[in-house]
Amino acid sequence: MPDPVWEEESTKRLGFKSNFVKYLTPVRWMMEADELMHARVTPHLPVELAPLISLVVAMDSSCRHCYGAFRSILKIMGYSEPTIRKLEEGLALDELSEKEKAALEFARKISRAAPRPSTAELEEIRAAGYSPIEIAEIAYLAGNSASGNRLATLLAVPPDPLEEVGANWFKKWKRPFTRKQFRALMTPIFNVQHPAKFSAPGAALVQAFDGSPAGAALATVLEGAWNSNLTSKRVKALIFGVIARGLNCPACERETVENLRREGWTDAEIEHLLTHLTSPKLDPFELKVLRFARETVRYQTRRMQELAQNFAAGLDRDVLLEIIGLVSYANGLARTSVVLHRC
Amino acid sequence: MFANAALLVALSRLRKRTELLTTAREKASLDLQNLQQAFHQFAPQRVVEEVIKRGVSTSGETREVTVLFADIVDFTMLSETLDPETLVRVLNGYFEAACTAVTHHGGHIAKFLGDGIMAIFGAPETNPWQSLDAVVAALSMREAVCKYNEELARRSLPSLDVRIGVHKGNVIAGVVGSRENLEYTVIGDVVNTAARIESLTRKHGVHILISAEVRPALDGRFQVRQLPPEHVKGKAEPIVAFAVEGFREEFEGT
Repeated sequence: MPDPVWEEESTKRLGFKSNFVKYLTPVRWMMEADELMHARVTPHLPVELAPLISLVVAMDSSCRHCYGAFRSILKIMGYSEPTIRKLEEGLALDELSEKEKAALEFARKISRAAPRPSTAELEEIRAAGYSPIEIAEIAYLAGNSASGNRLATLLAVPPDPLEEVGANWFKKWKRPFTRKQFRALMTPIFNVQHPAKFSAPGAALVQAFDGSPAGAALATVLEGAWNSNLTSKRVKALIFGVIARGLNCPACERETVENLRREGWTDAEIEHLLTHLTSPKLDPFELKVLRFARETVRYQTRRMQELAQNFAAGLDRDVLLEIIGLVSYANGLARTSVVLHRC
Repeated sequence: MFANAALLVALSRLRKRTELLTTAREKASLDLQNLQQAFHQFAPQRVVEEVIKRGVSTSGETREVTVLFADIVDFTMLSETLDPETLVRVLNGYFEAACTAVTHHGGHIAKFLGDGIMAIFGAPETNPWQSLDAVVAALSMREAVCKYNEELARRSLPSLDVRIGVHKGNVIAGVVGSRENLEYTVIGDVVNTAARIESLTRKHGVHILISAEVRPALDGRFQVRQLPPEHVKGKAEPIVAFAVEGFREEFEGT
């Protein structure tokens, strides 16, 4: 059921009524994840880098909702229309330093993951002047954007009212106040609480964020998703596993294998499942979820929305929402896991 | 009073104009989104960007891909019996059906070679299930052509039959051509071998043939039959191929 209190809180926090929020409210962990997605848990990076990364990733994904939203955020932050247009046309922009350009390029590689960035590309970003914690935060932002793009596309979330930021004289006049509210939203948060108990997959990834509140944010989302009762742990492991294989992330896959082993699967059965995308052990619902998850690895807006519509047929609304959340976050996490050097 | 009324009219016009502009902007943005999507299917995004920036691309890379070749059986005979306009219409209907099957299973159309189609799986995007996808696409292509034949029969036109060869291996992938005519393609022995495997379908009298490199991607759901090794042009060693006859009955529709 939608949660009007949460919606109201979100409107107060963001300064506008986000279309996203009312879509997510039936699933608690997704609401919390959305809140963390908007919070600035990447204090080691300059404040401007977050919306810039989100813009380039949204452009790459052709996510209409996110693209419009981050374009508006850049406007609120004081970027002029010609500057934003130049950004859209390419990264060869005088206003950006070489270091910033390198960060955006790296974020794009993470989001595309075709193939995922290599160790040499990690070395390149290091050579551009970023420390390991900063690189981890760039990866966090890129992975987060990749998740958000999928959520918006799969749920077909309409553009936010935020886009109307300069639509008339009143909104233009209000812009400095909106900017102030946004600045407050962008104040770094250092005290994100780690969940009291962490039982979800992704411990190594969370560990890689040691020293950054992004780690606690990741842990909170993972733990919330893993312990939600709407779908079984087995379904969750299947989703994480197939996306890890699709993105060639051995570290993420290892965790899935562990979880499926705990569910009674043998190594041969798991390998068969991930190689052939089927198993006699799967029920029709699990098979449907597995194939849907696999299709979200690559991003084609129209195809993804068609798939989501077909997938939704006959499913409980909250279960559908959770699965869309799981596939979206699994895509983001497997991309973020580029920070684990063994991948 | 009059001034107030005039102001209201002006404000209402302004609001309407703003609404029109907003709608136009949203449409333009959607068009841009579709254009980007279409463009990025041509080649990997980074290659597209390089071409936009420099007009050419020098980046070629070794990639493991699965190549699918499809050909219409007895096309030459068909082309002699149909007038050019009907032939082009029949051919375009076939391409539409066959290419949809390929793209729906993650493949990219690399080339049209007369009545033939060359499709790639595993590039531009990497895909660990590339061979499985290619074989499922091949089965879907045949199904799509069967449906298309029903339409052709209604128009009293001859039916089509398609034969397909699938092979996997390392290729050089990149954008090649002159400044005016660029295409993203794959080059290497794998491409030639895939074409040879497709031509072997005639010899074996089967519709879908796959190589030994593709075979491990298929599990017990598929009806697969090993065929005796055959020598093909340009290859010293005989090729061991497998006929894919469809899904086993209990897995039909899965």
